[in-house]
Amino acid sequence: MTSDRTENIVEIDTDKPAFGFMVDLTGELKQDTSETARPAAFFTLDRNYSAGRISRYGSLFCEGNCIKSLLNNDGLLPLDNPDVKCAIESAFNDIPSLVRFRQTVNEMAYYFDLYCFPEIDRENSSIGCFLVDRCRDVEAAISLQRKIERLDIINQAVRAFSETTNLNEILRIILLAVTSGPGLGFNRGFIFLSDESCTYLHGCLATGPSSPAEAGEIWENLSEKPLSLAEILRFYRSGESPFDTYVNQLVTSLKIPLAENSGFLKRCYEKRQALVIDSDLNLNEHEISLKRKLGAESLAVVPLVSRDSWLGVIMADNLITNKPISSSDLQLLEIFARYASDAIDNTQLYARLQREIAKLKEANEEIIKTRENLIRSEKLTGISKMALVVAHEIRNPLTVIGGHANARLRKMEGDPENERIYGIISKQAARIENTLNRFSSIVSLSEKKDGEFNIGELVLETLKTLVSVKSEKMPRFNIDDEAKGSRIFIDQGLFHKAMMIIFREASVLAGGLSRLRLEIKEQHNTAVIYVGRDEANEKFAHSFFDAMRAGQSGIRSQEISVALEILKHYGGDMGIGSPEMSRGWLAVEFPLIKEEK
Amino acid sequence: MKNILIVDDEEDIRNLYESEFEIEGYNTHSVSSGSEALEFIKKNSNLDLVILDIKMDDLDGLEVLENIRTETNKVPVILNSAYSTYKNNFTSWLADAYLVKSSNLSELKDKVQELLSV
Repeated sequence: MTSDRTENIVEIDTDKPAFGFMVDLTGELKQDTSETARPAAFFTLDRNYSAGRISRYGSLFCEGNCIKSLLNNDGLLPLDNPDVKCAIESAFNDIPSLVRFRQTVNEMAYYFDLYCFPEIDRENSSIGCFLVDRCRDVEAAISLQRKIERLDIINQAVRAFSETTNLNEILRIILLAVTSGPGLGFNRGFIFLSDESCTYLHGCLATGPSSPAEAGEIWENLSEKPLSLAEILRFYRSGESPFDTYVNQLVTSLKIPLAENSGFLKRCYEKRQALVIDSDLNLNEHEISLKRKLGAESLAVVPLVSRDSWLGVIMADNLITNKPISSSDLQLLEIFARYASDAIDNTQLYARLQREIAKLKEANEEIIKTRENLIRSEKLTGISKMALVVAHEIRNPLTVIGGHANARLRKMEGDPENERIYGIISKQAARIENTLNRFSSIVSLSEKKDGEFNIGELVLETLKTLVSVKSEKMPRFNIDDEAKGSRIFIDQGLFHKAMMIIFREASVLAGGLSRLRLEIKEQHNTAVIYVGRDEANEKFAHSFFDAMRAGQSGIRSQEISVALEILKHYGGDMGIGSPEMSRGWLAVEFPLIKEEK
Repeated sequence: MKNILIVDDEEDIRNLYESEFEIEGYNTHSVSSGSEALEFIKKNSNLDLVILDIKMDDLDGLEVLENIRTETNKVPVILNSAYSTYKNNFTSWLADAYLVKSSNLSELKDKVQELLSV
């Protein structure tokens, strides 16, 4: 039998209700039936501290044990406790007193308030004592303290969420809060996140022991010093990780389909419902397999939902302690999951934002580069154009000077001095002409204006021009539905130049522009212009290339080479192909512009 | 003898070409503008070839070429300009050849010979 010295002794006002009982001025005790009423006992004590007139109020007093026995035999009143003794003595001296104490009887701890007051109409031979059982208050206080601690862990976790934008870090914080002793207190925690289409859950992170031995090791480490969540996070950041476990390896290898007809995951997903899964009833085969793999008997599952979007689930169990998962545990886990969902969502949003920023940055750099190129190009164009004007102005007199010099040179045979002088004039004129030619090339390059164009429209424009200058009818021209929006990157002028050469030379071979047949198709990331003859001509392209090589039928191979150069400059080519399997058409292809998705 | 018309607004060029092609054995005529050239062509049906400058004051060489092609497609025309950029103009494709002016007349002479020998 032990007792603790307790708090101070205070006087009581007998006119006021005291812990569910009212003691009036005559010493009459009235029971309060309100919810706050506590079990209590009334008794008197004489100067020898013998108890008499013992009454019990509330059957739960001292868990229903016999109050008389407790008082007289088991020492329920710790008379060796000076505070208790002082309170009793005060009452004998006409001063009502209260003392609060804890007493252990038969290895059971009891918590009491003892009210002592003088009995009215007696001659100080005994006092009235009123012993209130505070055990339920203490239990409630302990429970409240536990809830406060759990909420504090949630609060610490939420604070930790705000300090990081790293998804892995967020997931770690979640699981540490779920499994930390003073926190939600589960033995193990698992996080599964959904893919974008909500068809699969992927195991992302898990923590907790896979065996009692491993549990002992982990908890021993943690129990050496009570740590806050922030301290645990720092501890694990600095080295050892609680995520290097068998459970984590197992969970991160899992992928569970959500599309099954029934199952707790589907319910959790569709109804946003938190569940405790105690049996295999109503589980689909994937879920049964998941439970078995985790070795879980009872599993808490709460949804991760943010802004009405499903992100995944947190699962937790008590594999090692086998502690049942209470509705209060589930409720707290669900509350925590809401904060965790927002943190995950924010992280994902932040990651998306970062990607967008990177894209914008890249685009901005591209714009700056393009602008610089444009300025450079404009400068070059200005200089080149000026040079071109000068060059043209020089070319005419140069032609005259050089031409006459050459003419005179032919007549100067036998006059070495004049031959030498006219030779010099001719040579220097040729030299200046070469310089002028180089200037012209620069201007041509600087005037090149690449852009995105619809290939069908470009071909049509070329054909119309050719038809107007040749005074011929349009050839048969078809664009595949798929190729109607096909766009290529090219200089419009150079495209016309290349295609004018090809169409003109092909029309020579076909016997007129109107006898050509053209088709545009999209094939393997390229737009292909097929050029054939209206009438059946199995090997039109072969004839075209043969004639080109042999210089027959008026086909000018040098000009075709120019056209080919233009095609190749823009990644295109010319060869033999066919829109229909049986015929050898001339195929001119250009790479398509890839659409950004 | 083949008849060649030289169209150029630069007198010195005309004189040079006349003397050079006469040495080569052609009968040459020269005019200094596009409108004169069209008038000459209209009046002289026995013309065998035209050497045509492009940049001229009244009517440029490309307009003259279009007119020639509208009237007759048969007369070979050599565009002969100090400018190479007119090669990108579609109308220039109506000509039988496009040569940039040069003090070395051998290329022009070869082209004239080639076109007149067909």
